[in-house]
Amino acid sequence: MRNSIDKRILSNIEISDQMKQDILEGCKEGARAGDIKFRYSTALMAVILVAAFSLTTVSVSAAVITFKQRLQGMSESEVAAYTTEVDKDTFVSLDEGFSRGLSKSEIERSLVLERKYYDDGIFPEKEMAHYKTNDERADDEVAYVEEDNMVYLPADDMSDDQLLQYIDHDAKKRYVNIQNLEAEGVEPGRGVALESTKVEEGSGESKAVDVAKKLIEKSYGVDIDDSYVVLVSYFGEEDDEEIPVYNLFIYQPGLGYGDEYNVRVKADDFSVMYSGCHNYKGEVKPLN
Amino acid sequence: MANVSSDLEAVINKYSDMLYKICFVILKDEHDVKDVLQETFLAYHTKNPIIQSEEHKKAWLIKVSQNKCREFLRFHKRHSTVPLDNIDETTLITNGLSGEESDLLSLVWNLNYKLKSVVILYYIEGYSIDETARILSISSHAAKKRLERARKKLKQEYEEGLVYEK
Repeated sequence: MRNSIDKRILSNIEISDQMKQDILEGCKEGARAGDIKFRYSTALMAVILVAAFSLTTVSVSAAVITFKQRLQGMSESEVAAYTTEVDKDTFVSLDEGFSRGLSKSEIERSLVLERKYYDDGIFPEKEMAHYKTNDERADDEVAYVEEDNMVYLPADDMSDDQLLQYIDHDAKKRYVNIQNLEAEGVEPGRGVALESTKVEEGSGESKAVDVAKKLIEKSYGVDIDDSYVVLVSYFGEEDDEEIPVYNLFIYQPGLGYGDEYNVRVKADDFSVMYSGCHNYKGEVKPLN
Repeated sequence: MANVSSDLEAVINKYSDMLYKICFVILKDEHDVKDVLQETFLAYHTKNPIIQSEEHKKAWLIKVSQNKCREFLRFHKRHSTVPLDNIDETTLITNGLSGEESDLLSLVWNLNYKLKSVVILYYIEGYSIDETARILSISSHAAKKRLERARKKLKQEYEEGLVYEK
């Protein structure tokens, strides 16, 4: 026996026949919704992004400068292609965007290669192919196909350069997505962000970050340097938290197969409520 | 092409009312709900997801529409706190409901998004904790905690009890 709420309370909230018809006609025409939140003017956005990148002054680690220089070198058409890809994502499930998952060998190699990409500026020899239709791609290449919004991987394990293409594609798409989100006033969150939360020196967030870094070094022997993204958020009473906390996610940017640290610090006395290190399967790594 | 079009029409006819109800309680504005539903059904039409059953289809549509609602709320913060009494459609929405039912709707309506979404999916649509968590892309633990908070919050306001046994 379970409790429930009678659906009758919503009985007067009904979609009109006209709205149903409008939606059907809109879908047949491929029309996007009227609100600008759901509309990316592809060509305009490409120009805005390229202009924004060229004006950005960088004051972070050398590796990020190298990555950003690569992005600043993207042509308008390449930015437009990634904007279209971001635009077509429904974010339902990551698996639905790829022809297959990575093998164990590919995952292990990707962890090494993405550090070379993000930290050492090692890039693929060529870009991942972008095609309009499936007919254009070859079976043994790594390619994005627009007609079904899918990244196709070869049946056999990717080579190191193909993996770097895959990592490069993920990074560029993520970066274009971030610029779109920031242009709309939305902060990129966990798993998307490529840069740490900007915190003011001496702020509660800053102290929470220090606590988390020291804890991770002591518990896991890992030095959280500039290659890590540190995201910190405050949750108080307005978020239904009984005890105000700072919640931190700490990870190295990449495909998401690396370890992620989660630390919760109480806002009143900066004691640690929770800390854990999870691998991509969600398994908890033991402390040192 | 005719088959795709008739399938889309059938899906809109079957699920748009349910999605409209859920999204309207969250977004509180019919124009915004229309935008979200347009995007949701367009995603269904263009993505052509592999659907294993009607229940899977329903859950897929709810999940996409919830993602769209969440994006919308982050972008348009104005919707987060408009009480039921302050919208134009109040009389229409509560028409025919008993006083108790109106009060209950008002309580659910005034919850924040995080609590409202779990209440709608668990108590109104009848999904399990795990299913609710999957649709909202949160952990089962988080879904349980949010339901606990929702129950506590609603019981504080509604002395006679939020829910009843079926």
